[in-house]
Amino acid sequence: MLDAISNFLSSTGIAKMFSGESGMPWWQTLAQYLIMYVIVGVLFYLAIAKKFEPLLLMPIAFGMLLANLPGAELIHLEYFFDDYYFTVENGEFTGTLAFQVESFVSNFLQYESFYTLTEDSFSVNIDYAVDAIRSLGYNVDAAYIQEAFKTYVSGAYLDAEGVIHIEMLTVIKEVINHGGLIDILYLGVKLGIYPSLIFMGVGAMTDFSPLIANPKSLLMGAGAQCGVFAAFALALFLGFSPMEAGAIGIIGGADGPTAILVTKELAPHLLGAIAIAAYSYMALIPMIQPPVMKLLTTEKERTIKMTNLRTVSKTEKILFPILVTGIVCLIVPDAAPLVGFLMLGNLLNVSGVADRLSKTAQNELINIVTIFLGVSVGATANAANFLRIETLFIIALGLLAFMISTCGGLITGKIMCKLTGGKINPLIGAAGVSAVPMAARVAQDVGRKYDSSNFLLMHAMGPNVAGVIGSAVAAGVFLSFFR
Amino acid sequence: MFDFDFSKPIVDFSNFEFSQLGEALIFGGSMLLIGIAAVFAVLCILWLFLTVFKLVFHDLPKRKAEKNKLAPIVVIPEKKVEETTVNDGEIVAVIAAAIAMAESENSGMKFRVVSFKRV
Repeated sequence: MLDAISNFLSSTGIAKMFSGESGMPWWQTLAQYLIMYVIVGVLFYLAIAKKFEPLLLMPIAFGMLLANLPGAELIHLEYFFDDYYFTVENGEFTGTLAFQVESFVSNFLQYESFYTLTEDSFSVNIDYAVDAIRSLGYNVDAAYIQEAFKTYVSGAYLDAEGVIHIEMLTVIKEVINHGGLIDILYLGVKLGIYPSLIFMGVGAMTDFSPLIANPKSLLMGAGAQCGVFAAFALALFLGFSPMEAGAIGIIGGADGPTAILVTKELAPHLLGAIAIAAYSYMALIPMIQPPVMKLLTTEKERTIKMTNLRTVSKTEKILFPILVTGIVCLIVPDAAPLVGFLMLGNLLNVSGVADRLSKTAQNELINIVTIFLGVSVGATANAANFLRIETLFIIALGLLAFMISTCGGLITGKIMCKLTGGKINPLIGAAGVSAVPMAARVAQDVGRKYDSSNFLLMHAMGPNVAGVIGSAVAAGVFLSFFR
Repeated sequence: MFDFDFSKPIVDFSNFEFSQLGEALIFGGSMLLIGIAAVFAVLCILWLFLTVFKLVFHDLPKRKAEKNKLAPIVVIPEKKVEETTVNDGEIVAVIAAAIAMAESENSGMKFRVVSFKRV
């Protein structure tokens, strides 16, 4: 009886909180949990009391809370953070697939001359192995060796160039058999489903007419992506790996789903910190942008009134998403999951023949996915992952990326203002950071502050939606380089 | 011969280490230029296509419309549409008679048409 009570007490989360984890003293583990609860509290405060992006910050904060409840085991990050791998350390195989690789060597590559095992690498002389096996009377080729590898190292495969890949199915099987609730939800992030579905909803809600009417605003959307690449360079300078730097840089694109898609591919261990930084800064745009806008523009420029935009025909609206998908995805195929779904959502809306689908994409579907995405992304921010010096760097670099992007858009706006003889108000350039429609509203508010009869909203929507396409292209550039 | 290190992909950026800070800056700087150039290139191509859009779907129809405006306007006299003035009472009587004829032989039901609506 006493044993049963003792077992029950030791299985509680409170006992685990005081027990010390990963060789840490109990007080350190306890302190980590308490710090995480304070951060969760701050996020709840920002979401509920301050209404900063509540639809996303609240699920993210709750996901963080769930991930930091000891014993709940709702998420197992080891399933997702490249834990299915093997490597060679001091001449021995290590990692979760080490046993299977050893089996491959001992059963298939029985003779040491078929392979070379050094302190940190494992190389196979496939030609030699093929010749030796053929001399025994078997008709084999390099593909046969690859097939043998697949048999012995289940869950991984060897490509024609000799690179090992871990199969996603291995991870999925493990999640289904032993995973927690959030592990299953997180598969939507890992497989890149949620960001694309959210983009479809955004596409269905977005009116691209201002951009079609004034295509010059695409340049401001492009100029506002310089923060992405500047933050990338700065992150490299601070010692982050190129993949991590790419994930950090994309915060400057001011686009949550894009940041999540890039990070889950390039640096999944930073997902929690990057998602929280991206969404927090998007919510803080009305505070971050105006000082930069005032710094880089003159009062005369801020009061420039722009001429009314032409009306856009329905044919143009229908052709636009098809055209953008074709052009962008042919040039940067890695941007297809984002741009393709953004434009699909838009086509559903503008075609006028799929109202039910369009309404679903912009209401029920996007809401459901937002909950799943928020909770599962928040759950990646456990104490061990989040309480690091890198998180502070990410938050600082994210802010810098936002500000540089704003500067890039404004400077492009100023150049265009000069070139058009003062017909373009440079303030709308700041809306080139995507964050639809928040950034456009900020441009409108700042403009009206200096001339209450100046309406910039529709003009600012052009660079704003151009920024969405621009940040997706920037994401595609990173993915094509580093994936 | 395939000579591969299983722990690393072809170019393993995750374990990429720059021997000098200068290397990191050169790599970062070149990515900055390549990245911005790529984004500008893609969006400039879109700009080009949207300018063609404007020409085809906006400027040309506008010019045509303007040309049509310059052509002499021929006024075609509108045909007078004769309004049919039918007495509602007559229609009630006709419909009622028709229904009565159709129904009386089979069922012998008694009915009265109270009102009718145009469809």
